[in-house]
Amino acid sequence: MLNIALPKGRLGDRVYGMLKQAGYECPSIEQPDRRLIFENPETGVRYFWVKPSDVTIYVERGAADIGIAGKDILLENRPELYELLDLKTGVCRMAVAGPEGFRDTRERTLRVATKFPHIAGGFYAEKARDVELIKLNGSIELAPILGLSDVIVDIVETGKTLAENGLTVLENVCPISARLVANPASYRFRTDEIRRLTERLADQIR
Amino acid sequence: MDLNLKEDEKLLYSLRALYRQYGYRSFRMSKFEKYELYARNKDFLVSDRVITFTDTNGDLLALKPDVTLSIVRNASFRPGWKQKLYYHENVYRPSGSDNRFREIMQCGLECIGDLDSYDVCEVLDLAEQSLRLISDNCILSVSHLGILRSLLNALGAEEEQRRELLRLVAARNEHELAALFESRGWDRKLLADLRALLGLSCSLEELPGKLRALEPQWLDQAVWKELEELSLLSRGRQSLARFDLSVINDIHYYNGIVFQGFIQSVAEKVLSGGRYDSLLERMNRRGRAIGFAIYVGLLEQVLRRAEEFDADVLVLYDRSVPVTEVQDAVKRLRESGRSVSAQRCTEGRYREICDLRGGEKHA
Repeated sequence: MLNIALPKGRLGDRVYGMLKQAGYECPSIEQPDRRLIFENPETGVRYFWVKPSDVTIYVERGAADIGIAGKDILLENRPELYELLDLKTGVCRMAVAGPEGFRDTRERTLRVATKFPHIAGGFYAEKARDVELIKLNGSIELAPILGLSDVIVDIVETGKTLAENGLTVLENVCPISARLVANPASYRFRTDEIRRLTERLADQIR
Repeated sequence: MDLNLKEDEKLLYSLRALYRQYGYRSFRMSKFEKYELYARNKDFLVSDRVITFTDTNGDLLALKPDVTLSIVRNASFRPGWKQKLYYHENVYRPSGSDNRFREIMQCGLECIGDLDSYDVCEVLDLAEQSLRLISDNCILSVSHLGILRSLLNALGAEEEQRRELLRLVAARNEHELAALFESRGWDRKLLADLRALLGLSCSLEELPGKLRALEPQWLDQAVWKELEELSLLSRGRQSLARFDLSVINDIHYYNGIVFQGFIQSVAEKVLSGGRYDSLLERMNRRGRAIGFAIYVGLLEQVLRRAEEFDADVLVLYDRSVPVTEVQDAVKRLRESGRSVSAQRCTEGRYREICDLRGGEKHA
């Protein structure tokens, strides 16, 4: 049985659709109930619904053989996993945003609010820009409005939330999308199964 | 004689016996080393965080986070001679998802000196036999860093690009490798070769033949020669070693063969090793070196079966029972080969209860 960690929410639903199309159907997961584990012995898969940011933990620690994780989580937590495929879904970008007309004059330390301190820290380190990172867990857009930070580094999908809060994208950091990840030990013991699944998913995005 | 050893103690005993059969000697070391040793070779360590403290004479010491550096520091060179050492030591470094300092039991071996292909094969064989002592369901993944080094040289990659490419190979991240080649305008044939190598899984005996099929003009002649020698030495052996390009150790310290061992039901590599001539060079030591470490702590879940009972028999008594009677009961039961715990209450789990308050009963 191949254990697959799926991120709860719209992205997980979309990826399950891809897996179903690839032949890894599991009818019980499509029933509206509150269970978190679903398996189909016929297709040899067991799915878990987990919090998106926890997918890499389940896979890294071997509770799941493979999983679907956002590139943002992979960049931020740098887990020791195989990143087998860019699923080209859940596409968005990591960006620096700030009040419209904001200009970074580099005259003082830049205050950056973010949920992703490693990504933001790495981005500014490459520019040799002195920053103060302020780690927040949500409602990041509030930070520059209330003067908590000068800018934010966050995921931007359409830019609508930013615009509604008087913010705009100042710079792109990196593109983000969903990735198929595998535990390196599981990959070695289940190489053929995991490669087959990867190939079938890859066929859908070519 | 049944020494009543725990499973991990039995394993360490078996590993020591195995290494001694091949002429390896035990190496014991102090818990501390001068911090300077680790500060100079930070990249070689699994983590650059080290527990330090000041000795009474003002020296800055560290609780050792690694064993290999201490062994190499004491290495000496004589032509034709190899220093063969094994160890089992506690090391202190951050570990686990919370990345906090832990005491980690590690055992392994090092072969340092005037090495040749035979020694490389012997160490690979010992790594394989060590894994088999842990579990029948194991995998030994092997690569040769000379392959990637040759490819990086052919690409003319700069330091930062080298790091990025190695990171992507270690993560089997083919889509970002393709993007890296595209953005740098590197030769597409080399990308195709790299992808083919990432998909390659074969024995060391088959490896030169499989590589030849790719016609890698960029592969260094010395690497070819070494792989062909290893193939020859692997001929006819039912080895579980499989080529796996994603096995990468720090390229500044390691060169040549590198390997990692896995056992089913443990989510991380339980064994890691390779050839580290470059470390010797950096530490101004003559000779070549190869070795590996087994992370014994990771095996806890597999080796340690939770003890179902606290003891075979509970001898239950109260203040009305003469102490000599308790003493006699414990002696009699112990002599019958059972473990005994004398208590005045029934707290705990036991196979049987010998109730001195009212006769013998079974649980």
